[in-house]
Amino acid sequence: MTNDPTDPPTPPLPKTAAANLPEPEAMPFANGELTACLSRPHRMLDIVLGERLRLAANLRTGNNMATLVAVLLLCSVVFAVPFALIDGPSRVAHIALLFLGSVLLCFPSLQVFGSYLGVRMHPAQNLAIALVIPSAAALFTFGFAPIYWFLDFTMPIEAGIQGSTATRVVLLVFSLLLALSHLNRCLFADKNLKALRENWPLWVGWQVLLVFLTYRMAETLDMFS
Amino acid sequence: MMRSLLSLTASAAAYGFSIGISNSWVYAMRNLVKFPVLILSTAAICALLYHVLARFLDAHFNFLQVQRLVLGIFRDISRLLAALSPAVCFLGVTMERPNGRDLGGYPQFLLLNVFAIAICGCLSVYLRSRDRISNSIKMPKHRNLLIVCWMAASLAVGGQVCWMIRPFFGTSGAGAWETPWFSGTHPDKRGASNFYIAVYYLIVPPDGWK
Repeated sequence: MTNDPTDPPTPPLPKTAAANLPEPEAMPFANGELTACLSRPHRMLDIVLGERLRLAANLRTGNNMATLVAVLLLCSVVFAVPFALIDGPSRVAHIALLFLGSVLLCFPSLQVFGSYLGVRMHPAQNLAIALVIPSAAALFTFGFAPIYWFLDFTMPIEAGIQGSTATRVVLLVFSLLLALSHLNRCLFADKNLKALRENWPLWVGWQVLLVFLTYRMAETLDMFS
Repeated sequence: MMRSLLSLTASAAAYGFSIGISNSWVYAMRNLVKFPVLILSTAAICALLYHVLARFLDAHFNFLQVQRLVLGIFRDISRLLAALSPAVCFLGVTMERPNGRDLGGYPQFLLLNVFAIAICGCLSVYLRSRDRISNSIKMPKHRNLLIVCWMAASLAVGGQVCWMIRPFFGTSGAGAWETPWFSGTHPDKRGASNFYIAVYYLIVPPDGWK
């Protein structure tokens, strides 16, 4: 069963002694790699989700911040559209507003509180760190979009709150939680990103604020009806 | 990939037939189409999410490789279930028929099939993750998590696909050729109008049901 000749071979990884060597430090994304996303949007999946050590290297070193911020902003908006479109053209911007809007509202608090508590990071770095959340959440909503469409299409209207609203809320909550976990993995995987790690109460507190604000934003955008 | 798809379709059809025969020849014949449709449409709806999850959990696969892997898992599950078809067929034919609100041997038959699907699913996933995925994901916990996430997504979506294209066997009287192929959003006997409410009613039965 597992030796089927039609199965594709998977690339082997080096084993034994080579595997035990310490991993070389990840290289930050070059400007060209980041701008290439504009012509090949599927590369955003690799930059935001697939190669988190390299993303973390960019966040730490501050390399190509302007381009990275632009890519993350674009990703937050573009990949949120398919999910939002399922609720109708009038709500096309709602998902981007929900995640990106909430993060942008919380960003000043991260910057100011961070500087008071000794986190010496450039505002662009902090902005890029914060923008990883809406961009990752947008990518997850992109993955959930066909599922949401299918469930929305097949849930009868008389099911009311048990149907598409509940589905939307559950999938959006999943997207936000996965995005938060992704950002934490990015930051805590990189040993040199000490600034935020050493100020974990600030980091945890900010995420709680963000979750609460996202909830209020969802209420404001009428996501629960 | 074509051979793999054909194998999946044939195996799923065989298992579909064996569960359908517990109700009638009509259901058995229709399941030859419906069961492969169930699996293939679930895989299609979840395809994007499978890929996003793979990238999220550090799997170095491209989109096509992810789809091949997932189809491979479904194919293995289908083959294992097809191997159980004769036994399932026998149990389906010999079970005590439902009569009104007395469900007869149906709950046991349903439970047995759920159990069989779970066992085949776990076995297939174990073999796949051991032989195929281990080379492409460094951290073992990510490997298992990826498979669990894939299967959880498939279960959540597959359940609703199942609901839309039911009945596969069920407690209604013997199916006739005139009955519709799919029940769609029509509520079931207990009043559930989608898969998730039906699962809830299985755990907490509504008044008058046991």
